[in-house]
Amino acid sequence: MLDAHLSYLAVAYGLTALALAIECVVLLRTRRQSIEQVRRERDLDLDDHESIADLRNEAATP
Amino acid sequence: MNPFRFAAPPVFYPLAGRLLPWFTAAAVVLAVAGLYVGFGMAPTDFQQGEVYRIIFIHVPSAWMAMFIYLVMAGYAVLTLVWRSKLSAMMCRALAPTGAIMAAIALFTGAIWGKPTWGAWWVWDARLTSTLILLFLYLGYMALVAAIDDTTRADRAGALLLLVGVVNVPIIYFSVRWWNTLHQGASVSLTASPKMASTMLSGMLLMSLAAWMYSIAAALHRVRSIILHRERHTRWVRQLFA
Repeated sequence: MLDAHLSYLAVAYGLTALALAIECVVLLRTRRQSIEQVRRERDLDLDDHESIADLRNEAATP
Repeated sequence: MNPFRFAAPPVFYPLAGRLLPWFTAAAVVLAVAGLYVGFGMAPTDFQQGEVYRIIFIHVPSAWMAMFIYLVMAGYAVLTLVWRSKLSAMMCRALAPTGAIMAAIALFTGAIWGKPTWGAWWVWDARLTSTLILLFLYLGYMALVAAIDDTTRADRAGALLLLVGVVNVPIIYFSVRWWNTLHQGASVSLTASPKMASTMLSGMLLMSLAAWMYSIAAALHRVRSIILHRERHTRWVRQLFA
């Protein structure tokens, strides 16, 4: 009886811990992806601006 | 000081970042204390034996599932009436945690039901309305993910939240309104608790831990949502300059 009860407890607490652990991992991964997206898009914009500046410089050069 | 200034993402983002470690630490400390009281100090139940200790996760998760939905409904009102950007982001940030809390309440209830009722599941009013709550969370997340236009998605989601909020009092009062297999409330603001003080202490500590965890998870998620939505703004770019 006691062993059966402990098994139910272990499954309940184990599944809860697993669910919360998965949520935490997903939270951290989403955060990392958001930061990477900001950096990537900022770098792309910077590249674009540098390309435009290069073109302007070339056009201005006689 | 104008409290509405915290509704601005550039103000809220760093504030959430500063609060996050405190809520995380409080969740861990309270959970450790709650588990210690629940397993080390609370006595064995004379009817149910050891298996009643599922209460220390079942009740806090069920309370949080209902409370998070009410908070989301409040943010939904702010989204629809004042068109507050942060409110819509908070709804999205809270939904997965609310869904997980509802799922935990359901599966721990099923695991508790088998040795005490002899069944994993019965179509009881409390269980069925909690299952509907889980479907409302999942439906909200699916709806906002399915609409490309963020503003339209937020407004549609807010409407769904407001329609679904009627389910929360049904869950809470179901054990009074109908003759259900699920037991009535063990803790009430108007009556003395029907359990030993150490059991109650453990449950309340775990409930506080669930609160702190939910706030921490929502703050963490809303920071990612803010970064994603505001990624083209100058203040976000300056953060990672």
